[in-house]
Amino acid sequence: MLRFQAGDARAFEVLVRRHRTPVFSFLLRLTGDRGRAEDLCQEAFLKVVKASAGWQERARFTTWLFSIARNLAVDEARRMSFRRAEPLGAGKAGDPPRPDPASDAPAPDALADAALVRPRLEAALAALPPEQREVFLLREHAGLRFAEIAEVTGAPENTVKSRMRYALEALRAELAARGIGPDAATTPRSAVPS
Amino acid sequence: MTTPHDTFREQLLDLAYGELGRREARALRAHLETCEACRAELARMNATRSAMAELGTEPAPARGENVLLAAAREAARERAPKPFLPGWVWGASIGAVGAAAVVLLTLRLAPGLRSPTAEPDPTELAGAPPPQADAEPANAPPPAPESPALREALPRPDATTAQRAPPPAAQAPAGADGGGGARERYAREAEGAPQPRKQAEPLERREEKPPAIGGKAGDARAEAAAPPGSADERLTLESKRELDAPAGPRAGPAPAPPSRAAAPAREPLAAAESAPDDAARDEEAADRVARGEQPARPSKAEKGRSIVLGYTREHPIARHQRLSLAGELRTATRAFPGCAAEASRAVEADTAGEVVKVTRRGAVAGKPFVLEQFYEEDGTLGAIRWSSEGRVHELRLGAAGPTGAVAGVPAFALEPARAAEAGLDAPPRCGG
Repeated sequence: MLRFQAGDARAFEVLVRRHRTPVFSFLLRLTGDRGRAEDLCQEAFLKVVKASAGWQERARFTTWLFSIARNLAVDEARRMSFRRAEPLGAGKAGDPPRPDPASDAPAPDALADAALVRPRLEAALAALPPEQREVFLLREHAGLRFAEIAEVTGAPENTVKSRMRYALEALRAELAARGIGPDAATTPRSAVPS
Repeated sequence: MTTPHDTFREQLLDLAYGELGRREARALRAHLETCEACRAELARMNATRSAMAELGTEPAPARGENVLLAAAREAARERAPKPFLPGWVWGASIGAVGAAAVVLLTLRLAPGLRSPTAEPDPTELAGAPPPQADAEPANAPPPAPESPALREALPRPDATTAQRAPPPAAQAPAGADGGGGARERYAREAEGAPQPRKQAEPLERREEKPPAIGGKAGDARAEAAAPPGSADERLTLESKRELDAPAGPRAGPAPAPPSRAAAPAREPLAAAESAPDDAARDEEAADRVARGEQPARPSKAEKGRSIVLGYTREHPIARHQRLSLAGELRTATRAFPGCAAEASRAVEADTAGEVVKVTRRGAVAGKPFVLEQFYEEDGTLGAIRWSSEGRVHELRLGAAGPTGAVAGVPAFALEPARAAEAGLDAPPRCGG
């Protein structure tokens, strides 16, 4: 980033190649809409270009970048009055997940068949409340530390960790309900971990 | 009341993500050996993470990437230490391209609309049907190089620019006039300058600027109407570019009369035809600009002449920018450890693999430099930009390349002359 700041356009190319897919992936799963994710991803990087002259090395570039991306997504969601993103046909917050046609079929052999498993993982992730989903994505996919996630989301670090715990517990229950994981045979579909 | 077990349980998440300090991790692991509940919870966390890791990432679509990179190049160019060309040059270039296109269409599609008093189209005089004359402007060989008299009579873009520049009363030291300051001044001038009623002219002046993508036509209009003071300032900046006129007219204390004979022997671009009074006309226009007067509008015949004489051949820097914006360039880089004069090389080639631009970085006599070489479509070296010690020299080369010494630019900056010899595999020039 410092090189780009000094006028080296090729340094930005490196940044784009390195971070564009994680940012797009994050936005896609946060919004559940591919078109919006593309637009937001593009807007985020253009914002980086515009703001790069005043960038200071106070935080990691990744943290800054994901802050921009996340804020854009939140702002847009507010503008469009989305109560929450509803990707992949998941229900509202608190509702039990919609029946997954794939889950009526015999459970696949653990994670052997990624083509069948992946939609279920997506659905489980989409069923998380947005604030848990974003923390999970920022930690697992963007690789930010909890303190950095706190910086990105503006929430205290302890709150971030609590959301992460809830997210992991909720995901475990969702995966079990969809026939994935060690608890698949024993966990009821609508079970929510306490 | 918080028990030690509760504290350890709180720390399980940090342990799972490797964010626990060494001492706390050791204590927690000791606790895990005795606490089955914590062990089970940690196992559940890890199992869930492991399952979700199968999700992977969604690759970003490629289609937006070029736009981002183009925006980044633009931003990087703006914040480069010293701009190689002020904004009005780009604006004027856009205007020149647009005007040339309009005139070209007019000449080709509506010959009957031409003024009966206008001079005949030089292409017609040459006996060449317009479609053929237009067919290969970029690759046309340098016409009539064997005629020095003809060459002398043709307008020389760089030389004309140098002649126009009145000697600055107190030339600022190199690098003292920051590029940003100059740009801001020009922006202010553009904002405050009255807008001429019609966007046009003078075409001669415009054709001297490299056509470029991205720029504001308004800049050209404002520049044409700029007051004398700003014109002086502008020309002073141009004179700093130190083209290849070490003893040129601009070196004197007073505006010297333009002298074609003293002009450097650079080959004009795509010169096909000429009129004997071309040079005088250019000089007159330059004088008008220097006096702050509105330049006379060129006649249709003059516009037509500018198409023939002017830059139907795409400027190599503009060509590079166009291809870059279109995402048609692929960059490959190579480092040469231990080679001071060429520590690294970046080669940008088009989709056919033809080298369009080479950027070399190194140091000469301990002074770091960046050399950008722009190649024409026919593979010849068309322009270079030499940046060192905060100064930027940009040279537009003719088909035969520059002759004689070029002030401030080492000779090796003009080599290799052919794109085919400028690839990534070419040996480094460590002796430069």
